[in-house]
Amino acid sequence: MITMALLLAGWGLLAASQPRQFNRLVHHGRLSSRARTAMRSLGAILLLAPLMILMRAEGPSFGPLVWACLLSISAMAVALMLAWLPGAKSAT
Amino acid sequence: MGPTFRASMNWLHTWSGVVLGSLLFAIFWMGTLSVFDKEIDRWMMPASRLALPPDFSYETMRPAYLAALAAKSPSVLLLVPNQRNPVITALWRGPDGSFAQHLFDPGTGAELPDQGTLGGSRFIYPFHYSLNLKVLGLGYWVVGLCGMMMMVLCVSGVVIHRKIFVDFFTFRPERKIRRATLDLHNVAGVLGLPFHVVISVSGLVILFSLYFPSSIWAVYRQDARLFGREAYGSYVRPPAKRAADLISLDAIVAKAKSVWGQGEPNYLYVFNPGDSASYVQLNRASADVVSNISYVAYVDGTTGELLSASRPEKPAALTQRFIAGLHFIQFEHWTLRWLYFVLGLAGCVLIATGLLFWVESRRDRHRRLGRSGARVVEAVTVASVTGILIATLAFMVTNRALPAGASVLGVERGAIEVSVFHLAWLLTLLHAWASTGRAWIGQCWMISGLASLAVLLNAVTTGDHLIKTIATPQLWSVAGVDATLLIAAFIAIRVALRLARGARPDAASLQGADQR
Repeated sequence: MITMALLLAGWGLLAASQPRQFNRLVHHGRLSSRARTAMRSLGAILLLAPLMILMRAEGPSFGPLVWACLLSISAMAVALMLAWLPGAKSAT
Repeated sequence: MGPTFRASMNWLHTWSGVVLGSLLFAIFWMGTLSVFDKEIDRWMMPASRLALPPDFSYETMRPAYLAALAAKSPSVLLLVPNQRNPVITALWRGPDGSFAQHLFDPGTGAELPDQGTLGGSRFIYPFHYSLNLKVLGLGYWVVGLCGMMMMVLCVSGVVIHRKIFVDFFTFRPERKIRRATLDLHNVAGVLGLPFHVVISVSGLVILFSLYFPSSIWAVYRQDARLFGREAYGSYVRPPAKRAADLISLDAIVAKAKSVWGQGEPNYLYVFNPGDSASYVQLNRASADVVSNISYVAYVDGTTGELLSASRPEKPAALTQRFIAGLHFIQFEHWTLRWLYFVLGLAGCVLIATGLLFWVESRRDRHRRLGRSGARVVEAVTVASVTGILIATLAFMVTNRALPAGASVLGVERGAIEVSVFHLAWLLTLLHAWASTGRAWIGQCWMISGLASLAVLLNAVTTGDHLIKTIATPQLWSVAGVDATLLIAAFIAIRVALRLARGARPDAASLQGADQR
């Protein structure tokens, strides 16, 4: 559960750091390059942290497998959430 | 990477996708269901919805062994009950040479009434790897070819995808169906890529001895048994033709466990039953590791001596077992089971949207030019996507609708279910051909109807309705199947409504997003 939330947040940050998605989420906003780098590195950390947690909880053979599966699924979940986000502009 | 390379990859992706997409969808769909084959078994075999006794004795399996002995079978495979499959399953060859499966109560050892179904593990699961085509082993080769092509499609798909990172999260359901389909195809493909590749490769590795027989043949010549002995440590001896009783099964298991140190066997394979040269092959259950490793021990059936125990396997065999384990998920891990199920569904979405995109981008042009290509592919696509869902649901509905022991024109219950599956599949193809354009909507309604009917019939015929099954831990497998069916029914209704809106000529594609 915690790992899924972390992964969603991680992918969410990575997605929001893309100019196209950022423009949809924040109307008329501008994304500075420093903010973008910060969002991306934080996102990447949030994606890797669950690997550590799962390695501890599930052991070295199941942990990475669960992580790899969750990585794909959470990314798809973020894509679907972005698609049906209320109030967001249509992507171009 | 010049434009010509990308163009040729595009051509490869398009045409191998169109030709094999339908088969691939069938394989992915059945594979996804096979993740829960035992749970589907419980659903389709109500008498097997039992609780595992807390102190299981291996002697409880003796009635099953004696029944096989009475049938004069040369060997009998006894599967040890476990949480997912809480019955003693015995497989033996009858006097007429045909294989038969019998179920026995794990508490009393009494034989359960014949459930008259192939269920998930003997219809859906074999369909996944052999399409149930037994002629010349053709099914295996077709599936193998599809596995190879899946890898080709993954690689060429990545090559032709122009903006992988820019489009990483891009899914625009509010756009025209063609655009939304391609988005969904890209999202399911790129984000699920590791799974799609690993599952195709591991599928091929599992059946390596079939696809690459020459590698074994070159080293071992005709002696395939020697390969089995050396790679997996198997043991054989002929019957002595003197009658003798099998000693206590508990003692046999204890002997094997003395070699393993820990862990329980998942099957007992008794060879030469009733003979003084009888011997038992035991395999340690590997529920706690990813690898589908077999720790096999052979115990003498009359003296209880250890005959042979497999040494740790050779590195190549170990690697093969790890990759096979990744694919088989026989380990005890419910989270992973569900994750595999979801990723399998993503694979289905990937293939279906790929086919759909081909049709959508050609339909109007082909109609203008008077070509039939798009129409043919559309009918085949509808039948292979929604059609196989309908056929599977019809299979399950038939299972609950037919009374036990039913037979029509001498066809047994299990065979009727399979016939209904094929008949329903054929009918969806005819329907798709007859009602072009609106076939998707009709079949989505059909899916939601059949899925709801299956849940209803299960509640009526067995009394295990959803509230009761959720409250009883031993019935959670049934609850899971029912809940999944209801979710499928709900999604099918949503899709049908959305498509019906899209089928109206104007404005539909513009408003789509806001109304959700």
